[in-house]
Amino acid sequence: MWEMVIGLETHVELSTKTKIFCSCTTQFGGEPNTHCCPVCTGQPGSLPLLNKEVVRYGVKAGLALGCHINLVSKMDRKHYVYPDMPKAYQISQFDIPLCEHGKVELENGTTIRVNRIHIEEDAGKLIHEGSTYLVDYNRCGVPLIEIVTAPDFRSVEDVLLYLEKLQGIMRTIGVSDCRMQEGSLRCDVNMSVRPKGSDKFGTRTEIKNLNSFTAIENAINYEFERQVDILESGGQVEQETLHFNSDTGETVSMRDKENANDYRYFREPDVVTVRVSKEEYDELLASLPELPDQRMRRYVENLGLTETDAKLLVKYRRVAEFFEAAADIDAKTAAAFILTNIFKSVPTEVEREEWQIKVSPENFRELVKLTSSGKINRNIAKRVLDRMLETGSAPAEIIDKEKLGGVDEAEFEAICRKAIEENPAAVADYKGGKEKAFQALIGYVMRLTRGAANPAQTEAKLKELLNEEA
Amino acid sequence: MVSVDKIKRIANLAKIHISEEEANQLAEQMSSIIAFADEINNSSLPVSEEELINEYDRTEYREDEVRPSSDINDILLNSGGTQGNFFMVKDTAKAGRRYG
Amino acid sequence: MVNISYYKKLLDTKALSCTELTKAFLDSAEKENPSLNAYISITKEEALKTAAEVDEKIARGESLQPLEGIPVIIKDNICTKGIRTTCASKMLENYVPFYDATVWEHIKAQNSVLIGKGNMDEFAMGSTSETSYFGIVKNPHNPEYVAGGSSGGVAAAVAGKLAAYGIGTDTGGSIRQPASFCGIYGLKPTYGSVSRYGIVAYASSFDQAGVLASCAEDTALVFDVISKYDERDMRSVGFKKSTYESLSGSVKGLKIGIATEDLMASDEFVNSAVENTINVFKSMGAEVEEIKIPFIKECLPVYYILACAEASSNLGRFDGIRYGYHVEDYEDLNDMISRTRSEGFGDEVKRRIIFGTYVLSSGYFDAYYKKAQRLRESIIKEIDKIFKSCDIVLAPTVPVAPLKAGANISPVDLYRTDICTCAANIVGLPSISVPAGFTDDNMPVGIQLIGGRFKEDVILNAAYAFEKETGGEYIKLSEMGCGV
Repeated sequence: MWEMVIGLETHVELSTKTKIFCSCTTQFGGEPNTHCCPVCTGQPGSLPLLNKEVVRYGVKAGLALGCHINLVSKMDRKHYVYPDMPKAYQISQFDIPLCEHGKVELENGTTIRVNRIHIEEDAGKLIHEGSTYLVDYNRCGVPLIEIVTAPDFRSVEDVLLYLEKLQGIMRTIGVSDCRMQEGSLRCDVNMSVRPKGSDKFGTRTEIKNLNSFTAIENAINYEFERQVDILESGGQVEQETLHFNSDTGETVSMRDKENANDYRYFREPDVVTVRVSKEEYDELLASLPELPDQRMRRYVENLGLTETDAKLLVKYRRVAEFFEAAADIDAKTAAAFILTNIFKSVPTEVEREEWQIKVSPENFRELVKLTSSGKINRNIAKRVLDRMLETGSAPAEIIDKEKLGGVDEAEFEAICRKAIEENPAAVADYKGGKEKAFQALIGYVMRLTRGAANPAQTEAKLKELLNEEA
Repeated sequence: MVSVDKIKRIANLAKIHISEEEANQLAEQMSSIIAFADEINNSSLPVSEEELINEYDRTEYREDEVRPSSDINDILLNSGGTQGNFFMVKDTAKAGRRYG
Repeated sequence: MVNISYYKKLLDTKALSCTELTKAFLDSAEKENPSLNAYISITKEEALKTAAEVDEKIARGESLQPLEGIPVIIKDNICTKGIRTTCASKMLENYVPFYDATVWEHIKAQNSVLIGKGNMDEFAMGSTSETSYFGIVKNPHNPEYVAGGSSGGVAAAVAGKLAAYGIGTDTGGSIRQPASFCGIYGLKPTYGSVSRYGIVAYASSFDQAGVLASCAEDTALVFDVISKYDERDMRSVGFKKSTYESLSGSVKGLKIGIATEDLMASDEFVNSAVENTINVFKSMGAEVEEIKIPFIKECLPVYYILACAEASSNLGRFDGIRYGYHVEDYEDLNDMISRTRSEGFGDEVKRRIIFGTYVLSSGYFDAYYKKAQRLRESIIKEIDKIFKSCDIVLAPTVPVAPLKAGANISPVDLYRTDICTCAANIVGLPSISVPAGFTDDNMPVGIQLIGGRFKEDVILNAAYAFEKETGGEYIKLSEMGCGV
């Protein structure tokens, strides 16, 4: 009956070393006001000095989202008064943003148009404690990109898929950690409601203060119901800014009864025109790493992985790179080792992001090689891998030390002959048609080789010897 | 003519408190200043769009290298109130009353 | 002639030690300031410390830099680390910057002796230095007149021999006009020649720091020291040549344009000074021709709309939280900020903030700010055309004679006196005010030499030639100051 129509404004904190307009560190934490200078505390006479890396990161983000890059853009002043904004204006971009007209394709088929991406400075932190306001400007001046979409979302699923995809892309291209819990990804939801099938837009509300994917989901669902209730009872939805209360699960009006902010935008006279040369544009375009989507497609189509496995691997850039160290030898084995084994000891999101494991890509490649060629069987390989995770040693070392090595040719044949000799009943059963009896022979060989024998090879050898006899 | 109401709204935007009397005075003064500003309408010059590219503008921006931040004592030096390393402002105050 | 060379000679010949020279200036300053009010702060300790260092240098037999040991006054909207910088406002009455303005760093590096910070119109908004929270600056030649503004304190000190030279700022005429009223030289450089870093912003796309001095040579000398590229100011370009070395004194073939119709003064003494100057240049072999600047009238409202808009934005930061004055009596945060700004700012500043906010506000932005911005572009194009055929445009500095103190001129009428100076700020061109005559009340009258972009060397040389030719007879230094 009703459908939700949503547009998102996301702020992504860029992971440059310094702030957008001064050389203070962007490092998180630190005692209040110790990462500050005349510029980011708005001292009289201070002037902004644009960080070139911020422009580059902004262009990269735009390219990764399929945007057109404005090689010539400018900065503007956006005026509003709040203690966390020391100059009483924010230096942002108004009518000529750095990037425009991009899009993101979601797995469920929805296409989200990215209207624009612009660079701007973050505000400081204002804490209201009891009857006091406390202000810390460490965060003031940290560079942000604001990504604004068209109102193309039609469900919570759309929104969550988009945000996950955005995170994957931003992390892959290395411009941001993009984490909601850390504040490097912030999302405001603009939502209106309309009868299904209509192409008119209803009045929209803006929901702020969404600190997690759960909050976003709950807020959207709550607001949808709220707006539907109003419309169904014949009322009008008021255009307003709402604050999501995660305790009550409700969206609450931010009682900002002052006139809607008149930002009085005008061009920032202290910052020169923002220019990206053709050479730099080409360089940034060429430097874009393979994006998660493309990578996933490649894993599925070229390497034969399942979509599920491929998705899990591309989710973390370092995991994907690690996988690729051995993928050309045996993609399926490599994938299995990572997803089934290594992931067990690297259980959290953050750990998988960081991928600080003791196993080097070279050693991993070696292990996959050994397994794939049959030199060691799967079980042994898993044991070796566990040991590698603990010690960081090379597979050959471990195999040698713990005598997990495969059986040598002559010994192996001898053991197989022995298996046939010592198990006449099983042999007879097998020859009589009982397939299961064959397993007993294999098991016998396994026991004698202490699990080092390769099941496939054992089967082949036994059959060979049995046929000889025949 | 600039109305007193308009002046009050502008003063609110500019975050300057004005009394009723000041609002009236400013309304009068603004009216003559605006009339002066309106003289731009008498110009016979063609209007030009803003040139984004200026031949003297630099095209290289700042390197992304960390430099030492200011000393915390300097940052807080001129502030009206501090609490630890924070800038501090009381919610509300009455001259003469001391807060702990 | 009493100028930098004069004082330098005293030091070089050891007729005076730097400390003795400094003490003499400090004594004069302290004696005259109560009535002249050129200084907001007299920096005795800093001055004597520098003087001692210079004396040590002299004792070691080291040669001195061009401005070493020379007494200087710095306008009080220029940040001097550790030294109170008030912008002549209650808002910053006790503000002590913890960093130096670039222009001050250059002067400091020369070991000039800082006698003190110059009084001015509050936040550089004004033409008479009467809006200062610290009282008005009198004209050193006649206390019935103002020193001019907004760099009135600097002009008065230099003309009153309470400093050998000074650094001021010019947004719509604030160096040139007081220089003209006080009978000395005032140079506003090309926008971008001098770094704005550390200069408390009034109108960002118009502000430039510049020089006030008692002769053309000194102006060139000081300009060379302060006109370096500064990374910290994104609009900084810097000046590549030495204007001092380019002083030849010859203006043969120099093309001078005058707009008698469009830029005529309303005062007969100003006009006769202009006429006289033209004749002097002609006699030196310059070519003078009539030019038309019919759009000069709209320069005024264009300037005021844009400058006040930028000012309203630049002054938004004064809320009492990180620095500056704050009220002790308020209901909530919003109230605290509004009352602080109401009490901390003077009337003219508030007027300009209100006007600036108005022209930026929704509904008025297109008709005022946007239109003025577009006109600015056109004015720039037109004036650039003029400088294709002229090397210099000669004009009065102020269309009226020096203003009397307490004349109570209405805001708009006062704004109109900027008509000759504001065009150079709109376009960003360099311009120097040159002492060129007197009124019948013996008050100084200056004329302007406006040059093409980054042609400070051309206008300084022309000023120098004029001065040589006229024997500096129009420079007026008061007898009140330092008699060394």
